[in-house]
Amino acid sequence: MNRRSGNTRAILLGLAPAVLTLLLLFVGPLLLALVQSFGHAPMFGLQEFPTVRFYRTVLGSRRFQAALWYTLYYALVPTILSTVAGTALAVAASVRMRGSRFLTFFIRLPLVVPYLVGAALVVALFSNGGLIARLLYLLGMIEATGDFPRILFSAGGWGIMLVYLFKQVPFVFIVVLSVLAGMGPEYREAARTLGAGPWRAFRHVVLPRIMPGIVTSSLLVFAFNFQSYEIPYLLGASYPGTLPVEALRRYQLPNLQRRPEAMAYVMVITAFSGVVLFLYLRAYRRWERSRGSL
Amino acid sequence: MKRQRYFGQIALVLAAALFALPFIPLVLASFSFRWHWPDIFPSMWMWEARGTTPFPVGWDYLFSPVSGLGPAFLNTVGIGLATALLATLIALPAARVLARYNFPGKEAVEFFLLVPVIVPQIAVGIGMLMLFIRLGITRSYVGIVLAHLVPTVPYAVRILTSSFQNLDIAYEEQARTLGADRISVLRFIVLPLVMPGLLTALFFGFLISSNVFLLTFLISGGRIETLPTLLFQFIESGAPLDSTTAGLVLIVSIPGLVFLLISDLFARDGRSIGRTPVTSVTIPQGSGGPE
Amino acid sequence: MSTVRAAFLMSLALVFAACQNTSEDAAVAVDAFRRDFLAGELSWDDVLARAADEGEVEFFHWGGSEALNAWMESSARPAIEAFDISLNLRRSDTGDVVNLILADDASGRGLGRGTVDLVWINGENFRTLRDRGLLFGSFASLLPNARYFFLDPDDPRSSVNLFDFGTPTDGAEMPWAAFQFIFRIDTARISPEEAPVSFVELEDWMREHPGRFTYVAPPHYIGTTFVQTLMYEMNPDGTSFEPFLTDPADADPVDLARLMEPAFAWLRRVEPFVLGGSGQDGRPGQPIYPATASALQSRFVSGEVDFDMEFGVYDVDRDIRSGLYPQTVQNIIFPETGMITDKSFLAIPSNAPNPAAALVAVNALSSPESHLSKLVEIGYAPGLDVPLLDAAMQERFADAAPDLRGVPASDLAAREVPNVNAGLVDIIDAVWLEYIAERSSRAFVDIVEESWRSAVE
Repeated sequence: MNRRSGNTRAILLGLAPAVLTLLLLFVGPLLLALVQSFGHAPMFGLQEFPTVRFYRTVLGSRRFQAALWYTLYYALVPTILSTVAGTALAVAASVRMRGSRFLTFFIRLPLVVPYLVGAALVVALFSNGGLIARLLYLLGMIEATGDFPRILFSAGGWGIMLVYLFKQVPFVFIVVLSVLAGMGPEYREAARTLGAGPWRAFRHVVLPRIMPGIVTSSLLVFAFNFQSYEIPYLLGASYPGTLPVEALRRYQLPNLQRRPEAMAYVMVITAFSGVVLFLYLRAYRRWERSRGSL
Repeated sequence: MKRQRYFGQIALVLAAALFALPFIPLVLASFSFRWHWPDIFPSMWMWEARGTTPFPVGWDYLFSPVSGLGPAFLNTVGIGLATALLATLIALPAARVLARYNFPGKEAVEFFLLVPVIVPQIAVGIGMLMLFIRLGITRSYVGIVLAHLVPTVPYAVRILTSSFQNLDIAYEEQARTLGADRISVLRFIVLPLVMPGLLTALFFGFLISSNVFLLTFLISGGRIETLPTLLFQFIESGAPLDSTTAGLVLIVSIPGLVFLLISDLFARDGRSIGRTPVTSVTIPQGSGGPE
Repeated sequence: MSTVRAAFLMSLALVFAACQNTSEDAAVAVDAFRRDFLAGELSWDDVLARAADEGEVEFFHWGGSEALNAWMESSARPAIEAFDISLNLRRSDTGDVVNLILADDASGRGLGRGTVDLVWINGENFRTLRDRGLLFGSFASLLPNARYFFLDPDDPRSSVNLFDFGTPTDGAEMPWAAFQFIFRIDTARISPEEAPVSFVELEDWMREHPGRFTYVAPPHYIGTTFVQTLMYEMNPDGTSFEPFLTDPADADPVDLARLMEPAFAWLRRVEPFVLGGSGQDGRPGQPIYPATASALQSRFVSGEVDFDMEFGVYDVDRDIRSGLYPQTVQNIIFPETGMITDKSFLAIPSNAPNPAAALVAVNALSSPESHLSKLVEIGYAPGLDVPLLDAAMQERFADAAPDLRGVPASDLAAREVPNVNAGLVDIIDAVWLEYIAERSSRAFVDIVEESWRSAVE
């Protein structure tokens, strides 16, 4: 495997297409947004580079602060819920039984459809004139659409979070399940025969082994939720929007001179995702080390 | 053990119902003409209304040229195929290198090739829009396919890397020592062995591309419609159980459904669930569900 | 290495120069065409010939109505394609189209090199293009079908065609459809007699029925129009729309705040009683203002709120026939103090890639037949002026008008009032966003002054 020298050329050539593609299409745009957020936009007659004026405008506004908290809230709650539910479901499904293949087909279905499909389903079911409200009306539990709790378009954000759950419980499920399938039932059975209860067996034998899967999937789920645009746009309250929604709103303002504000927004979103990613990975490493020292 | 199995079964049935049942009202809605509060079922079906309305409704509307479904479908498929092919070609050499060689900075390269999955698409998208305006490729197929490479190339690299890792290099070397030239080695040894991974990468690239909304929305400037951008408009303006929105949702779900069926068909290993080649190889490295 | 680089750079420069050249040529040709046409030096046949050469037209229009989209396919397309022009319909929010034109211009896609040939437009969107000099020019009276429109500046009947939200159109856009802002109710839920006829009555009604009313959030035009209508009724001087026709650049912001304040006080006062509100005075709760007209419509249809509002008196009839509304929905006169009526237009941007085809398309869409089919099939009142048609055609228009569903035409006509000045739209939107959506605690006059300053500058 280790054929280091003499292969430098092969390595560089091999990596070049992918690395260059992402440099151009991924790093390039981010750099462009970065310099524009600091006031470099000659296209719109703006040449103040470097200025933090746009960051000051954005960070100081109530709109931004509200957006930041709501974005965090909408991202975090579904991450926790889908991690717990997805893991539990995977553990339940890891026991071999008849028909589970057929059943998991439906659980995997949300994974392969766009988030927008989830949005349409949530609208059909949970809006105040939706099917669930109609069922409750039929049962005499509500008298009018207004009695049904406001799940959509309210700052509570349950409409947004339901869509995330629809997509992400299956996601965590499938990740954890594949890890579980990899380790086989022997571990748990061995633990059980040694006299461990189901909870102890799970905690001390299963959980440590599926932890990497849980960490990866919940991290990806959070990172996705934090930057999602279309779901909060379609199902969120009119005020406040989430950070990505506010960013695009800024970008679409007719006053081009204010476009760097949009760039400040996206840089804040990017920086925040980076910090969360970093902290999370650090916490995970620490956890892993502490386990190792036991 | 038995009790656990019992609970597991119940949980699984419930979950499956929870995820599958919501599609049923959409099927009903797609064939409805009137479905107003507080009716649990449509009060008038689409075929009852045919001929009484001045313009087509429901499926008739979707399949008429007015809805824009045809072009959106073709665009989605075309862009998806081009993206999948390009992303796989770009990722192939990198995956081979990552699976075969150790070199300084390898971890950094691996990390770099994964980051686009986590970095906000809104940030990349808005920056990319400015870049593409300068290059004059916004509102073009080229622009959209290039944009779709950002979320697809990282996945393709991951999938193909693990596929190359499974491929024993000894086969190649053996063939080489037996006098096979590079092309033959590639053709008769490498390709057949990497084929499953290659197909997976292509499939997955297509699926991601066909699901991307925001990047398409930003780069297309409303000029090139795909299924997700069309669905976005429909949801934005449609009522809860609107027939055309419901129909479009079902159509948009088709690529994913086909993907899932095929991946299950390829999974000859019926022993353990969730270990189908596609899902076990790809989704663990995926984002919060393929975007 | 350096020679390779030099060669690369050179070839790049060559390619670039070549591109520049061809597009320069095209721009010169477009400019010549525009100059000659606007000077009246081209015959209509010249325009038709050039249009056929161009071969296509990019028509951007708001696409939120399935009925309109269907009509575009069934009627607009054949009418335009009869002239060897293929019609590319692009559905898009009008504000986005304006941004697109601005962005094209900012990135150097000037004359003949833009993206948009034709756009359905009015109000502040038109004003933005006009202020930035991004309109093709004064073409309306040069089209053969101009004879069906009052366009003579000396004729008072022309003003609705020559002013768009108080902005002079200068013939840079052609009237296309006429709309009146109107409320609907479902008689299965409330009877026309108990429906309020003024904002004062509406407030009482809302207090009796908390959570059963809401309006579309500005900056959506339906929301802005709702607030405008309210401003007319609440005008402390009792002069209705008159002071709001002035260009804000010529107005005193403090006085403007005085004129606007009663309306916004009303909006704040009723906030607890709109959809999602707390139902108790002084505590807004979580009021819901739908972001689009269709979002409000779906809440109306699903029984959440009892009033729907739209531009277009014939929409109810159309939407009942298409299954969207139950048969019990009807129009009501609201408010009796004045229902805003305006026209919307077809405009051509200065950087239209196919200007001749755009002109031919506008002309085709300005024929009596086209306006008639639009009226019959989707209930858009004609943008042309019916008195200018021959007697037989006038009769056909009269016969074709859909059912007004509950309101007599004379009552509607009696309550027509004009739109505010286009410059005021951004101010109203900005004030609404800060004062209502963000619940700012700043003094109202300060909010108006700041919005006024950023709009006027």
